Amino acid sequence: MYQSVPQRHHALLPRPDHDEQARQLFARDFRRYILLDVPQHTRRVYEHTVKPVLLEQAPEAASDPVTVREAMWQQGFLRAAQGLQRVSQELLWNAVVPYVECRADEVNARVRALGDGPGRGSLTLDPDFDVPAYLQDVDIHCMPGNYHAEYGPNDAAQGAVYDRGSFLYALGGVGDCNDGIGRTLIEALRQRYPDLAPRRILDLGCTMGHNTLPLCEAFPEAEIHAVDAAAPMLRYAHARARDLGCDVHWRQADVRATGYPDGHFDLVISVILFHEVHPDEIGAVFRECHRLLAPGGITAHIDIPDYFKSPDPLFVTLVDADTFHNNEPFWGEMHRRDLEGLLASAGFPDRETFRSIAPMGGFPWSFFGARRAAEVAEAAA
Amino acid sequence: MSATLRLKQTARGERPQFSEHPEVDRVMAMTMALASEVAVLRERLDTMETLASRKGVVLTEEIEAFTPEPEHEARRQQWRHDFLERVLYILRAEADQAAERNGV
Repeated sequence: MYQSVPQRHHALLPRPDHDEQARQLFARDFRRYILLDVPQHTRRVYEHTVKPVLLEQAPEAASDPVTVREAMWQQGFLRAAQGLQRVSQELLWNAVVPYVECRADEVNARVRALGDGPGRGSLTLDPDFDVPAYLQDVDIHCMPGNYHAEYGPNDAAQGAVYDRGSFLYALGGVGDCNDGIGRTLIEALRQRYPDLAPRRILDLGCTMGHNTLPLCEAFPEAEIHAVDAAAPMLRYAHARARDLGCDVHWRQADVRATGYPDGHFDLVISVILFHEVHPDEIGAVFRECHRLLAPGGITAHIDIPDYFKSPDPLFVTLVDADTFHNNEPFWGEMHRRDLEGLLASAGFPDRETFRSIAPMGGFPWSFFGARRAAEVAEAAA
Repeated sequence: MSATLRLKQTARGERPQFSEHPEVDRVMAMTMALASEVAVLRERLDTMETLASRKGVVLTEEIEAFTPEPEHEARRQQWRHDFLERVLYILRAEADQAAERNGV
């Protein structure tokens, strides 16, 4: 059975009481059951009930995920399984939001105590910032309030909601500091570019900074910057980084136009950002990466696995559940776009773009990016 | 503990309909919310029993402060898994019958 690690305590994360903890771990393990056990039943129903009919009626359609999804939906089992998956996501937030809510004043007091005044790193918020329209249509992954809800002046409560909720969502499988995906990106980067020694790094869409902080350990000589659209996340990130002894400059900015000077960075990364960017805006983010990089600089991104080209249509149907039922409208669409083509259109040389896999245990995160040409004359290439 | 801020409890975005009958979706959600509460209750009893067996006396403060040992937590995780198998038996049963109809 998959073993989860408990989340490491830090000054900002409230300690749940006995029943809150039990409720949260039930939500986590319900989710695990939905993801690891129920699909076995779904597959048996498919193999024994739906697939034989599809094969008889239209053999070629049996390999099409859309047809398989519609047939399974019609049959009814998938409605129950994916209805339960939706409920598991709702129960997760139900177990987290009230636990933060009744301690929000406490969380905010600690955020201010750690974040205000002199100390490591910096926080730059933009009171006139407009959250991109594509982030405002739905609350992503059904997190009430999304990333950017502010419930009072200088509020950071959503940071704690996301801190605890994202850890439970990942089934405790991303390390006790919630930073396993960031660490996986760094490992993949080092394998691809063994001589990597960036002096200035930017993390795009950093949320509460859980995947930004491993950069501090991996590149202790570098200056680390991180941007996000959500002020509560950044306040929480800044205080959390200080509590954990990390030096990061946080800034509220749109990932399509961050406001830093041209060629300011040697490395621009993101961690599970792109499946939450409107697919039509992916190119704009790549263009910003290109603009921000010095000649020879690298951009690298880690995101949800590219399961969508699997030859197994039922598998594609199951991994696409978040697109349809978990307020992740861009989840499946991201991988249907030509990411390497978009990187090339953004100005990166064709031969320097890549799209591969960054494994975390057996989990195949997708890993893509490019190196900017060493000479300024690249535009002619 | 103070609670001057009211956080949003429901996510923005239309909830998908799973059953042809909306009331079935409601029953499903209520059933699982109830299951969650049963799990919470069971876990609290487990904590009480564990503490009682250790000391013979149970104090509320001790219950609130209780953190299971890693092996104990692993047993709880297993229990939650088995509990879900019981509550969601209908899924297993449906798959069993589908297989049986095909002579598997």
